[in-house]
Amino acid sequence: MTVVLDQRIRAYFREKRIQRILSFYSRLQPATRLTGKRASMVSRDSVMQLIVTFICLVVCAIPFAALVKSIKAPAAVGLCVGAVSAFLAVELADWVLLKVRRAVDLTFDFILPLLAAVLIAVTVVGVKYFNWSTVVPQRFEKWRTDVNERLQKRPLTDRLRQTSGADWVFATNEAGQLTQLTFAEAEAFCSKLGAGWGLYTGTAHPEISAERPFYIWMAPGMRAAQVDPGPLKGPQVFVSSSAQDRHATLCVRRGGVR
Amino acid sequence: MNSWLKSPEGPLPEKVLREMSADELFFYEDSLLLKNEMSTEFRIRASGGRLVVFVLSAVFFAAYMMAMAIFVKSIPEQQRPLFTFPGFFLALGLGAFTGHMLWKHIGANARFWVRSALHYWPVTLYLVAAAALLFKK
Repeated sequence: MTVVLDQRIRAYFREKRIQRILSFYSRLQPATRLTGKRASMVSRDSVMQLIVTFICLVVCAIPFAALVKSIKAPAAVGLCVGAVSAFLAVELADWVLLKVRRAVDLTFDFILPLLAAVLIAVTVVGVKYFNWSTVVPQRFEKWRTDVNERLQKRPLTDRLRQTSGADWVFATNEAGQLTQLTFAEAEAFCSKLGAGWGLYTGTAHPEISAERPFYIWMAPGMRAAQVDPGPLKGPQVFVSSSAQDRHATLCVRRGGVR
Repeated sequence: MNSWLKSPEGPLPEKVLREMSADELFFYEDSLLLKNEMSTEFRIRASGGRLVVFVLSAVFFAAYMMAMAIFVKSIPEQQRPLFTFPGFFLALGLGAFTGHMLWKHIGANARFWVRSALHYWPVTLYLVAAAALLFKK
């Protein structure tokens, strides 16, 4: 049994050595013919080897870590198991690299330069004949605004225990969560509450107690103030905002805490 | 094809490689790697040996610089640049030469173990950690 195992291990390492030598030959030929000398200390191969080894280390560590955790092994046993796992990871990385080396070479030597050339050509044609230099930034800006609006439209949850008092009220949805409005919407919301109501101006109001920080609109001007956890003592952090931005809205009654 | 590969020592057909004994294969691979590591042209394969040659050269360069510093201290200050300026380049050249020569003549088995330790670096780290744990106890 031991002899057979020994023979198999020797055969495995012999085969690996032959494959290494063959791979070594094939590495020298295209490297000098197609892309010139690559005489560098940190070669693409070294970087690939390192990345793949790291990935394989993680993959191999998962079952071994679970095993060591389940049997609550002491540190010495853990180290031995870790060493075995690391050895298997390096073997796995070698195997993977032998299998994918040709694909990687093809990708880096031909496909990536080809893709880059196609991309450059498409960009040149687009800019010259389809006015991409203005269309693309506009589309990007619209996409950014849409994403920003979608994110900001989401209600803020678990920020306050109480969302209204005698002379102050937050804009909320049916579920009692803080809704985020634009500056115009926030002003309209406050004026709808009646005469004397307006946006928060920045004075202390200990009755409002936040659990997590968030921003609220402030009057005058388009800026938002950060409400820190704890009783509202008056904001210390502010952020400039645009007409499209959305923040929570606190309305207060004149003559009250405003 | 590279002229080096046209030399009598390579490349060999796969059939010839498979007919080689384990020792022949071992020494043949070592000679290929050594040639790659010693050359300034063929450093295209991930090889820990190249790193070793670099580190050895740096260590010998530092050693020669230290030796030169001891010697330079014994001469008058005005004459020191006459020795330190060429001495720097001499130490650099000698350091690189000694590093390369040491790696070349250290023997195939020693090179194999050093290369293996670097190739299986995660295992080496585990062994170092185990040794540290052992000595701590």
